[in-house]
Amino acid sequence: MLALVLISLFTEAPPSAAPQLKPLGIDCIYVAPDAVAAWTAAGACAKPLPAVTKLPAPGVQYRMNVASASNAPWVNSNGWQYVRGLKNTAFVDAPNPVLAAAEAHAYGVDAILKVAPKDWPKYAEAVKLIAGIPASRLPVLANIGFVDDGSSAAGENLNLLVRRNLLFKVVSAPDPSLAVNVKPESGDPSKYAYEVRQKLGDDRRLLRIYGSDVVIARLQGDASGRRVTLLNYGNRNVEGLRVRLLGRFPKLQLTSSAGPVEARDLTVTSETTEFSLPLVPSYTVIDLKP
Amino acid sequence: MRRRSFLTLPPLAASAAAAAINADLPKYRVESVYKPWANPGMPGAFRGRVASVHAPKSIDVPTETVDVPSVQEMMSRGMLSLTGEKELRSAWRRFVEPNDVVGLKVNCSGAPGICSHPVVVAETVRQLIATGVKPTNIWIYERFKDQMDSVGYHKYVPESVHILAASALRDALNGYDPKTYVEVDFFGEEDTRSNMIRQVSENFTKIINIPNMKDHGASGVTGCLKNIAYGNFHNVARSHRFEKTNTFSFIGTLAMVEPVRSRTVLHLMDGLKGVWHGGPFSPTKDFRFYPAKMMFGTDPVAMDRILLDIIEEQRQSKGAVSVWNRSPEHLIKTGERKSGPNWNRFIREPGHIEYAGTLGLGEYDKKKIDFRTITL
Repeated sequence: MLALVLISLFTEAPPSAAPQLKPLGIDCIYVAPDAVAAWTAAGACAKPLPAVTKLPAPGVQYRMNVASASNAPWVNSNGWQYVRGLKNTAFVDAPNPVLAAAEAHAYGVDAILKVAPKDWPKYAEAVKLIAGIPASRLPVLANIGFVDDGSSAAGENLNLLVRRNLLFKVVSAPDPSLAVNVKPESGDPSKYAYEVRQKLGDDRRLLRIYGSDVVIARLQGDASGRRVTLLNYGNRNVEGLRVRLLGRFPKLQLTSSAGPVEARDLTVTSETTEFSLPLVPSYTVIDLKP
Repeated sequence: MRRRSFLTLPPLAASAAAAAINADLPKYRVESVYKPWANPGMPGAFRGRVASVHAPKSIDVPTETVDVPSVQEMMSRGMLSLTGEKELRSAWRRFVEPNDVVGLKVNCSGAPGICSHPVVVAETVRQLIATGVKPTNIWIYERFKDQMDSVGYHKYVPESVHILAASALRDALNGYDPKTYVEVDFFGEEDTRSNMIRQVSENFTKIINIPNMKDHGASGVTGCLKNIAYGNFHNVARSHRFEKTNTFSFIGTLAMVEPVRSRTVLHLMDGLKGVWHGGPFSPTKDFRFYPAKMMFGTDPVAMDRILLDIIEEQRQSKGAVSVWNRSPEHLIKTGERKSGPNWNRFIREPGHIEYAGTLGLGEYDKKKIDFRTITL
């Protein structure tokens, strides 16, 4: 599924920036329709921007919780929109092109990223990283069924389920094969997500993250193994993360946007696998085998 | 949002302060492979005994300059009084052996205004070395690097003594033991684990606790128990939200986790300076006071019981509300900007000390505390 993802670049820069593309390995870009001719004349492969669904920049905002000494991070994730499905190709504002590219890749969707020329090298690195990640055809794993009615309240519910790492599938009707099925509810989405979590129970969660509020995980798997993708929405690397999976998977292979990173403190029991990552950059992919 | 469950630990004995909230304790799960010693360090060899040394010359109040010879004398007299030994070497040998790896748990949460004073820490290091402990086996440690750096302990101790901050960044999990933790859901937070500092579980054979004498907005006071509990674990600030704090039961629960409970063999409470309101921080001198005291013991409950009286007495002398005051009238509401000694951000939980006593960490009943005082 992830092998099919296409990440592309859109720019509003003038055609004079064209010579920067080839050295970075960027073959073709999207531009505004009325700019195609000028970019082509400048020697670039430029295509007009197709119909797109605009999405905000993924990232995090730190907001002081008035009642606590700690900062309460607010994660801006497009995950819930990717899971729900988009009408057109995703068009993402990407001040952090690595995260934006990784997010689209993790959710298996094509995306056009709006990247400033100063960040083109990072974009190129991200595309290269994603191209180097071994393809996976493993199905997405979830044990919560979310009966989506398409409402805005449902969207808020989905957003919080994603941000709380509560692994769900969007279903048209309750799926008895899943541990829990839930319907949308209006009101406080954080409270909703917590109630879903309580309904499932932490012990039955297929995956848990300890050590950060700004890392969102995706999980794929079948009898042959698991793939965990970790998206760090924060402004800096997370220094230390513990991951807990249901199931026994003693063999790990890791790809990271920070280069070589090794998992530590692997603990495997008959029921669970846990490991630590000393560094979690924008994107980490972990393949596990039994 | 909150999980309301009964604690899987012994119930608290009846007391006016604690009974009202006893039925509302979170459910804790402790994960540790470390077994308790036959005689754990807390409450240790001197349960219920507290030696207190007062030396008016130990600190010059206007300048806050600490007099090194006075501190050395205080520590010498305090250790002898605590142990009943005649020789200082024998007193220290009650707690450490030459081959020990010793962690000195300092408190830097109010640094640089107030912290475990470098002179006290340096004298502790000097005594450990004199007892035969290698400087390379001495670790001065705290959780947060920025706080620790503001003190500069390295300037006061031999170069080969280690200075360790568990977290270079505030929320970094590196530096903590992934296999030793307390799991609890206080308010529906996603990360429900609080892991122990890795050096504590894997390296240190003994821990000496060096807290301050401070008021604390959440726990009422912060002395031995708070420093050895919250100061040794990650992800503990989650225990407070809005006016509610879970310090009542969390402090004792954390202090009970092995190997902290067994290896913490001595508490040297630095009361040269103190904070009577606004703790644990002390950015200005507004709420500082100068007891010019140090307390010595192995029983953190007994020592903190004495500390409660010291802070309460100071607050009373300043006309501040009691640390036991739980009235909503004195709580700062969300969005309000109020300050001063009669305003509380949290419903304080000084009952955490008695609660820790019921877990077996020490003696709370003042009638049973052998309080030995010396004035130099």
